[in-house]
Amino acid sequence: MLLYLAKRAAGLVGVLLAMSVTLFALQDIIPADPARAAMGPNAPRMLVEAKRRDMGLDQSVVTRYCRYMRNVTRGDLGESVHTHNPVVRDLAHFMPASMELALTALVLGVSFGGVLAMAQAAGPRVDQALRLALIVATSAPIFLVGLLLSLLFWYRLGWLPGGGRITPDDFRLGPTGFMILDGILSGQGRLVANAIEHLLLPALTLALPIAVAIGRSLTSSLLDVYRQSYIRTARAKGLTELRVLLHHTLRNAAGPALSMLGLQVAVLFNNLLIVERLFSWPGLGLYTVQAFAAADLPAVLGVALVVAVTYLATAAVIDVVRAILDPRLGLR
Amino acid sequence: MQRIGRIVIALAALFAMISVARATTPAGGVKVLRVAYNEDVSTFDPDDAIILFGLDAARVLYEGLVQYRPGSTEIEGWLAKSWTVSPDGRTYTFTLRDGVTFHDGRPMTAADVLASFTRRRSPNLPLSYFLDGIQNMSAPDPRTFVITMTTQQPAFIDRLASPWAPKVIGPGALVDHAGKDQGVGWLNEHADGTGPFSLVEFTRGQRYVLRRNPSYWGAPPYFEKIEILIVPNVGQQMLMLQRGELDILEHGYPFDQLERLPAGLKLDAHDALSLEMAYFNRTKALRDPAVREAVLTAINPDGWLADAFGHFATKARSLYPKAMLGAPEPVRFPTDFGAARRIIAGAGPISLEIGYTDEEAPVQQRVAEFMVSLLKQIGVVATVRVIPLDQESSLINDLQHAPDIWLAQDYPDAAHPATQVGVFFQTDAALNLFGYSNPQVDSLAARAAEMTDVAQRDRTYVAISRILFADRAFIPLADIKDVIVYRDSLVDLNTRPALPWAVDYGTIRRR
Repeated sequence: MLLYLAKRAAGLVGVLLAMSVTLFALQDIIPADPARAAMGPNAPRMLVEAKRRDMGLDQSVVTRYCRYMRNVTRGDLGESVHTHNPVVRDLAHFMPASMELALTALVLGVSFGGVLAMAQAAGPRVDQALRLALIVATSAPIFLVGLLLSLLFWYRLGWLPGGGRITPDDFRLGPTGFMILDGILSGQGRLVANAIEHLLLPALTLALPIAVAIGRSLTSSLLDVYRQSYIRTARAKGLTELRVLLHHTLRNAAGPALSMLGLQVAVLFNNLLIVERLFSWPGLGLYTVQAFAAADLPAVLGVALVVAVTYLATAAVIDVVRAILDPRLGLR
Repeated sequence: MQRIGRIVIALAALFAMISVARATTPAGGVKVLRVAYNEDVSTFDPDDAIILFGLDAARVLYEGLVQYRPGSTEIEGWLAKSWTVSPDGRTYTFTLRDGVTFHDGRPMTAADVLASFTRRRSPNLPLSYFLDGIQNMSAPDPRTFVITMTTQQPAFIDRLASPWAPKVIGPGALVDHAGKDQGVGWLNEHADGTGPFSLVEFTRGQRYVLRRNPSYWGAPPYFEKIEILIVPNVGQQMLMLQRGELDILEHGYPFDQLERLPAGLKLDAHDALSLEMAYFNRTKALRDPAVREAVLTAINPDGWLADAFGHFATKARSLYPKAMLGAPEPVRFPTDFGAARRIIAGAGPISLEIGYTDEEAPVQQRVAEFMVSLLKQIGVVATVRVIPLDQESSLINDLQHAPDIWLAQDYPDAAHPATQVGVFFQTDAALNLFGYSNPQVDSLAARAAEMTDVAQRDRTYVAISRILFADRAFIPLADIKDVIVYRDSLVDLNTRPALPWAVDYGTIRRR
């Protein structure tokens, strides 16, 4: 296990180095001007040139890269051009919202996917109806799904909020930045309920593609496992169907679904950008969009690093869980 | 199956209860004004950034010495109750209002004005150039503030009335929270001004809250609280406005939907200081003067303006917005399409690229689509390229790969024509995107900048406009109105041409 984790950590460092080099090279190619963005559109060119020197943009890309990496090792990701804050501080501010949304979407997606798969594996009648539902769900682009959910449940029916993270009057910034957790820690039940209300539509939008992918993958694994002789033996021994499912079938069928979950995490990060904008969700997606518009390269780099670390860490966790569920796979 | 049915019914009942509870709770209450910005305000520090979203909030947090009157570009006193200019035009003496206090209760004196202006002049702050040309500043007594210029600059008072002009910042920020960065870090997300509202909450990405300042020196505002939500999607803002979750949509309501607003909404369409212009990149296909002439025939605003913007735009009369300078005669575009076709046919296949920034896409896409269609009529194949806003200023670095026609609706710093020329047209001007340079224009601009006779000054600026148009470098297209959509219960918005996308939170009230 330790060797595996060490290998993963080394891989992570390698990926981060490669990504930072690529992003720095791209910065040099893209004709964006962070100095102009910092000084404003109307500032005289002389002042912009002075700012360029001040930001070190007149130095070679290699010099800037070395300085950046030196600062990164000290936990300093630079200062955002747009917010004028240290990027680390901005990430700490925006990340909990994205994490809360992503985690909720994952939980919903895996739950729905599991239910779908088990329902499909249960019988052909359910299978037909669900197959149709899956085709519809996978065909629609995520922004359309989000838009339809928003128009129906917020605009038409008024059942759920259409955007934001909390109803303003209830808003209290807590210690963790996770609204639900902060609400629980501070004993404010109404805040928790309000936060959940706001989470439902964006999380559901993000969860649907995950549910479909997990559902399909798990269904075919379940059907395979159900055909195995040890399942017949378990049933012949008189075990209940639920016990057969939980103890003998699901555990052996979970491997491919977990691999699919790893892929879905990457898709989830991409979809976050769209869904956060659609639902005015104050997370990393909003921060990234604003950073792009302001040639805010330190912020863009910071977000890219965080997303890469999160993705690689998630992939490692999934590998470990797979190995625990099926020791034959081991940790490689 | 029955169990699932029961769960569905239970969930529906729960949602229905939530929606009833929400419907009976007034959105924010009667004395709360709720607005939305498309993006975060980068900073409320009045010296540290040019902001567009957030100008209306900034101007009720901080106040300057002078301001533009509502609905006009005339200047009136603000924190200065009066001012005089010396006979040589170099010395401005401001007499400050009595009884003005900062949000923390400390009284405002001329020393605070001096401290704020001194900070603004720091070369590391982006807006320091607003105070270029100052020789000396002093506060001879607590109610008097004096500025002496190195040379006469009639546009100076306009620069002080600009939305981005220096504001008076309190000692709570400049002394108590000065830190090692002149208070830049603290002022990023806090405010210490003299305005009718104070900033009580700044949560990036979510919302800002302004609360009425009980010790404000002027008329107290109607609203007790302003809630500003960050809603990046204009479509969602429109729906929120219709549902009563927002009171005002300050920018971005689609022009094609303005003629049929839903019940309960009204609009305020007023002149703005931003002119719709086309920049000609004269280094590629438009290098040939005859081709420029033919292209100009096709993009004549007479051919598309009414269809694109209805009565929310008028054809430009010069390269200055009409709220800044009323030119006596309209710009004359060539109108002979037959001649234009013959020129293009003779010049060989001509293809052009029309560009604009993503931030201006809602307006420029409409203009560009009409232009593409009209250019096709004279045999020119035109395509459209949208580039990120942050790359606009870099166009000059590679003109061979820049678009042939650039569409933009940018803002000058103030309502004086000198700021329009200084930002767009002079050699090396910040938004002279294709690097146009004409010594005659520079010379006329330098002379006009010192003129105190307004009629003579305006004639000179109109002459500059004619030269620029004759060179087919900058093409004035349209004065497009700034449109604000709001709930019809609101009155006294007091918009100002020089204040983009903004109402006056200090005067607006609910009927």
